[in-house]
Amino acid sequence: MVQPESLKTAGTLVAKEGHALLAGGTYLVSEKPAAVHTLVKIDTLLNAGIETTKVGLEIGAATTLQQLVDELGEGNWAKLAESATASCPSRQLRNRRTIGGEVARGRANSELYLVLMALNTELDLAGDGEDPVSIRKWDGNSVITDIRLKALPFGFQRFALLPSAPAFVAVAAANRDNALDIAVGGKADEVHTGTLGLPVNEADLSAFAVEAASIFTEDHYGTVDYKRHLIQVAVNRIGSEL
Amino acid sequence: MVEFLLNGEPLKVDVEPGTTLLEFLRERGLFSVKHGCDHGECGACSVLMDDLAVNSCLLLVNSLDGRRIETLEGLEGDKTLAKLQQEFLDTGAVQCGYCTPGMLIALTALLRQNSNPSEEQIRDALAGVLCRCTGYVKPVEAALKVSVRGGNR
Repeated sequence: MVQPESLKTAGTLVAKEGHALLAGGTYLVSEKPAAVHTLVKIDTLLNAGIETTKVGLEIGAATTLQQLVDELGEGNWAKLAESATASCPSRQLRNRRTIGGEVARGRANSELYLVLMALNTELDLAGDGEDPVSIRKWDGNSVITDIRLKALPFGFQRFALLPSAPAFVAVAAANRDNALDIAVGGKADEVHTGTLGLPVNEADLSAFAVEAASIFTEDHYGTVDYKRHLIQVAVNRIGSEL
Repeated sequence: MVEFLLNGEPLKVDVEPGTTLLEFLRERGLFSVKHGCDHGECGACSVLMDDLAVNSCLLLVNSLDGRRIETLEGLEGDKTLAKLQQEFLDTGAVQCGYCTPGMLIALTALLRQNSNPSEEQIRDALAGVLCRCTGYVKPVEAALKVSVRGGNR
């Protein structure tokens, strides 16, 4: 384990083969990837706080999911806190799991990640004066320092066997200039994103749902067609809320 | 070399890279910390780190510099823990007992933050500890009794 003095050095180190960033460690230590021989510890270099800005929120990458729950649990951003709990029902894990790690991991069954995708969140990356990058365009190769969210109306829906079980279909959407930016995930390898006009046109939604359902396979949760149907239900519910 | 506090005792240790806190604690005979899933799924290995409940199987000892770690062994004499233990006994909240230390740690952490947690908050605190025996009914009941009396007072 190495503890670099700056994020710039951390970025250089992690580009080397066999090196991985360590902040919360909940994914990395659990998986113990054989290819990793050196951990680059960055938790003390990163900001772990939430600030309200003119346009929304700025969240330090080392902010834990439990901090989101504690600090945003009531008020305008309560749904973001809810999405953090849905993504990670274990408080023990939420006490360690960071929002930066959640973005870097990009789990399709993380409601928090889907919400950040729907909100078209911007990421500040370690480096010399680089501009923020959209979460949808981030290549995954640099150290995230801050996460910037715009205060847009948003919502999410999840379908799971139990409230504390991972969702097999989850949908998040944000209302941006009378259009719905949507992110669809769940038990899948990738997240599907798209945009629909508001009010939602059933034909457009139907076409979107067919495309989005292609990320799923048939399993014990249901057929692809059933999951397509759930996507439509979720988008309609979120659309009517927003 | 890493320095941290374990149950109030300052430690300066040099361990193999990759050694988890769970492995380290059990090697030192702190057997309240149970070896369950090794993946942060079951919560049997829960300990307190700076007053927060965390999974010791996911913490590398080399990352603990300056931290304060507590296990149930270090909480002997702690009034909150004593109340919880008594209520667990009186309510019959223990069956096989493997998850009980994790539950007690999770609830101690909660009661340190909030002496009168609601049922919802208790269930949230226990969500990270898997119990296949009790269905959580009795542990929640026990914790609620402590909550009603003002957990950490």
